[in-house]
Amino acid sequence: MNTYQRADIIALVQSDSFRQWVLTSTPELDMLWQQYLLQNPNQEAVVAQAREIVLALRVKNDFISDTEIDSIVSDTISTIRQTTENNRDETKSYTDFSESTPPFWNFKQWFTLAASFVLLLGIGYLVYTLTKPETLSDGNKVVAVNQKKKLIEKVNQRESPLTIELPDGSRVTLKKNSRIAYAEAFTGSTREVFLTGEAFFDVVKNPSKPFLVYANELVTKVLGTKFRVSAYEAEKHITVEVRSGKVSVYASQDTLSHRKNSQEEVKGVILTPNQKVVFSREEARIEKTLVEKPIVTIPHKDLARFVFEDAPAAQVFSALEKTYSIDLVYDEELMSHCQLTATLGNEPLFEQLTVLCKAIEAKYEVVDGQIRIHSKGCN
Amino acid sequence: MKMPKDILEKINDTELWDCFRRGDEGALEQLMQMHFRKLFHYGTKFSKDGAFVKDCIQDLFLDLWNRRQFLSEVQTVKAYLMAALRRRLHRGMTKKGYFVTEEITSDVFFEVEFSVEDSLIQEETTQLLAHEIKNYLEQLPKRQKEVIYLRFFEGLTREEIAEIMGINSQSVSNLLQSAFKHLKENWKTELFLFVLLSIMH
Repeated sequence: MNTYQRADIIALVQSDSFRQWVLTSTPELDMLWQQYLLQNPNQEAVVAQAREIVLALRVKNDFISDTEIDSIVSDTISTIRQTTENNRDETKSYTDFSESTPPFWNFKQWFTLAASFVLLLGIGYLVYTLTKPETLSDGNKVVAVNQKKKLIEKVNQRESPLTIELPDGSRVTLKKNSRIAYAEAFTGSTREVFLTGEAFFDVVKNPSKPFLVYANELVTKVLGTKFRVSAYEAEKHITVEVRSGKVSVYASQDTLSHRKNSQEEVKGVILTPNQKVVFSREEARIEKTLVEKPIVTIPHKDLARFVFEDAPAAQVFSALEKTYSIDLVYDEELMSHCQLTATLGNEPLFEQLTVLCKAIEAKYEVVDGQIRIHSKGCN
Repeated sequence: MKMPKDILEKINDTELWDCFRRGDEGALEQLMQMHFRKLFHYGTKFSKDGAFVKDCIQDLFLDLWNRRQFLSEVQTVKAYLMAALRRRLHRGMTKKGYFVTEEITSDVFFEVEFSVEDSLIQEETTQLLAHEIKNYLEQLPKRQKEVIYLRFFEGLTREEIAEIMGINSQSVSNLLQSAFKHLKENWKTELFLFVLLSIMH
């Protein structure tokens, strides 16, 4: 190694591009340096030595094991869970400390803190009294009012459901121990709410501003409709049930992985009234089915007409389809000789189906949000 | 809002940060897992008390979680966290009795030791040079040392270093430059001596 080589090695060792090439090579850097070597074949030894030095020169670091990191992380997670539990009841206003809460404070800081606390309490009280809707009572409080983002969080602690009106006039009925967070004003291109627990939504129609419900791993997107979302933290399944309108549901992992290439349409399941999805959180799988008790989706006065006497089965089935907005799948030709006498009315759909199927020796099953009727035909 | 871990691993830092701000416990977990070791390594350059550094890092994350709604978007999560830890450590260490000096004292120590993995170097002359560079780096003034550490061994950009150290990026460049300048000067004297010795012989 002569003096010039020495200088070159030192120059390389402190070069950003060289270090990057050695430590975390990228194809571009690789090309650049290979080219350099091609053009300067006499530098090969210098580059090799500089490379060795970069790799060998290290920072001494104190050792910390993966196990220890894991235990600190899980300790932190359980700490925040406890705090969340404890805070559920209280009206909270966070103060925007510049950084942290150091163990000790000087007088100036104490004074500033006290003053801002008083101020925030005042603002908090004002916001609380101003935003408190009629339906809020005793157990229900504005949990956190974010001054900057104006995020409002509401929790229902009562036994009875709590109805909240959102900024766009949509209504949310929260079940016990459920919470919802939403912006004070839906200013963006979407209306977003965050739900934990169970709630029924009656969304005001606005095609230009989709309404999104984020519930654990599931996202429910609607333009305007009525539906129920159940997403308890501790439950293994998340469910979405549709009362009216159309709802699209997709796992938030889709949103995340698709976000990068936003051109691609986010895949999801489209739900129509009386349909339901069950999202298995463990398997991250969406299953489409029907709600337990499908409800009549047409006006009740129209219902009276559905009295059948020795009518073709197909006629009865199509009446059921209309009444509940559910698809019934059956072999029309095969069942053309099947006749039914029935009055469609107050009994739950599945009870009616059981009776009807028994009469024509058929069976039904719920598959993918539809009802399939299996029959061998009638004579 | 909780997301499965394997999904969180796939998304990038900034998206993870957004999930964190929305109150995703999984994102908190993931951020801690991703950054804890780096933060610990950086923190222990300021304090040899490992337990104290670990506590500081945990408190930092707890504190960020509590203030998540007030946090804004960040350029680099790593730099943001390192900057926050640095300030926190300095505050924690400058406390005297019940009082804390408010400003970040400029004379907080930063100690970094380097090592040379000799087995990775074939020739002895190269080994000697590596040790020479190591010794040179270790005797640098501490702010230059910190800049070198962040730039060379943590691969951070000038802007990120500026954010971490609470100075502007021009100062970072100046610090880097003076570190190099000394390296070059150091080298020149040696060269001078070498030439001198050759002439004498």
